[in-house]
Amino acid sequence: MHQENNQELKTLVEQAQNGSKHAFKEIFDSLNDKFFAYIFSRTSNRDDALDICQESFIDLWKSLKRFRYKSDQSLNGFIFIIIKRKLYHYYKDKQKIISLDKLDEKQLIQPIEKQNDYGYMLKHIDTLTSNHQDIIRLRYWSQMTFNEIAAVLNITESAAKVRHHRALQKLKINLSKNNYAI
Amino acid sequence: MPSNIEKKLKETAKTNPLTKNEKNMLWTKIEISINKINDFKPSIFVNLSPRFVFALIMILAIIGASVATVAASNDAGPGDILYSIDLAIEKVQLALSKEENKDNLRLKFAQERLMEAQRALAFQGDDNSASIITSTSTENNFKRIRKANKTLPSALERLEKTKELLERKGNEQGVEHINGMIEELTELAENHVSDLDDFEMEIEDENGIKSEINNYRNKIKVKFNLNNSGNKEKVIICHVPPDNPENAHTIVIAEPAVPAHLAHGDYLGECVNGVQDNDNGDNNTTSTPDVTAPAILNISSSVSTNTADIAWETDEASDSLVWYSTTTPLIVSSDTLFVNLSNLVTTHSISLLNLNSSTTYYFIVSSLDSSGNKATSTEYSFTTLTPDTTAPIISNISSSASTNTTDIIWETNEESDSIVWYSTTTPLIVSSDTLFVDSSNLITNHTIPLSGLSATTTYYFIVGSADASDNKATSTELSFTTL
Repeated sequence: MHQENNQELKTLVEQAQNGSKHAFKEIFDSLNDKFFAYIFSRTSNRDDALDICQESFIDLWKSLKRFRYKSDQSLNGFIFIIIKRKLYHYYKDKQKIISLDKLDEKQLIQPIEKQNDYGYMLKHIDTLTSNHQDIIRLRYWSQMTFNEIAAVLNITESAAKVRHHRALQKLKINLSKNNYAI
Repeated sequence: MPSNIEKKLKETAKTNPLTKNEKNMLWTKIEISINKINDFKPSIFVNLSPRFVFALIMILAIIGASVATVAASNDAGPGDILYSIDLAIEKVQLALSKEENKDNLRLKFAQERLMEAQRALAFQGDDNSASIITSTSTENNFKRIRKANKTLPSALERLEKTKELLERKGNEQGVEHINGMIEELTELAENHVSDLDDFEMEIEDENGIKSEINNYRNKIKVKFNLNNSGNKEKVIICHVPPDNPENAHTIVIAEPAVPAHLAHGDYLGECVNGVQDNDNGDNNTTSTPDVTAPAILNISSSVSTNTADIAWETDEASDSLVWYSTTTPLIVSSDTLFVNLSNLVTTHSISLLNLNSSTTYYFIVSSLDSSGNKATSTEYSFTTLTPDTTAPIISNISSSASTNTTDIIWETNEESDSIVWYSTTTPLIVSSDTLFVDSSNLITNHTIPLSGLSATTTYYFIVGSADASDNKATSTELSFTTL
């Protein structure tokens, strides 16, 4: 991923805003890994994750005209808002009884493909607060820089670093409580 | 300085990334959707003539759907319920659009068909299909292949119809355009021909019976490997998958699994129409099902001391089953002994082995025809023979000697074989070295010729006979003298 704002992405966004599917394909190609990883870490199965990812990009296309390019990170932030909304609807459909505030304490059944380390890690990440969860997922699953995370979460870069540090501490404590060797 | 937990997280997060195939599939779906957003929706909802809106509302009223249905049906592919609505809307649009726009619309619809095919096929893998298959169940994959099987021909048909229309109207540009699409679709089909036409599936049911399903040119064949785990009865049933009833096929299952299968709508016997080709959905040539049970005729039994052959005939091909027991009345339960042959015949024969001798057995025969109609006889019985433990009685032994030969003649009171031991020494003790002549024919009047004898010599001999049950009798020592 490019760290700096690059002219290329800006051009692609502009072309896509004018209806270029080709440009949109390029945007999709450069971002799908990042966002799929994030979505997959938050859904209970791969098919659902694929669906949400697909819908998010379709929504992105629909709402791209409303987007004002400031930086590459601002696009990430824009997409992230879309994904959060999709995920919210996904959980709402899935577990209507659980209120929005308690969403993060959810105890979703982990699917087979998330067994072992993957499932174990996610289970413990799920016990963190939503802010901490997000920062870990974005940092490791989406492999974002702090700069990017800051833009996505709409906080300053140093706040992102601090939050990341605290999230890791919490996770570590949780894991060691469960005798998980780190 | 990354801590251990950071490393661990990085490693963990790297697992399960999007595969190339999934990305392609994602993009294909996204592309189809955004194409519709781009030019399809506005043409309905923004640039609509009042005439069209009126017609659309009428259509919706007729099919009793809401506007939401239209939006949803736009995404429908072949095989979905909404697909027919999708097609209907397209037709209405075509009928009502201005003449110069019609061809464009036709092309656009054709393009949609092409994309539906692409979407269906995006599930089939080319290079790394394995990753897709592992992420979904085999059954899902099976469904998808079937769906792709349907989509492709329908898309092609559609494209060719459009082409024909455009050709008739002389829209050269349109024809060229559609030719491109047909080419694309053909290529797509060629690339996936292996996925579509042949696939194999191996299923093992809860009783350890493996069946193999091959799809070759849209015909599904099922092969079975019955491994002889126990002597459980195997039953032929017509398996009607609850979610895909047109894919009914004949399978063989173990008897304990029958109730479960019947519960979800399967029926006993082979499928009435064999494998139904669901592409021929238009000509509903369903044959009237066979509801008549076979008639059981001419039940007979032939017994020996510890086996019995039960034979009967039926007026239609059916399988063969004999329940048997030493108690009467014979009530068939899961403990009842039975012998079963599953091949469908009209002349039935079942051998019961390992029976006790001099015992009366009761039996019921039953035949099941290919449609699962079952006929059962009333109770019959047979008595096994008492074994022969009495040796034959040898009498009237005589010999008529000449110089070098003689005939030894004797009689027995039952059919038995013949042996003569002879020697020039006395007493004659039968050993493996003793000269003998024998015959295995079971007869009562025995004549055994001896040859190569010395002249004017006294020979001592013993005759012996054994009956069919191997009960043996021997004579005392006798003698003759050659001339």
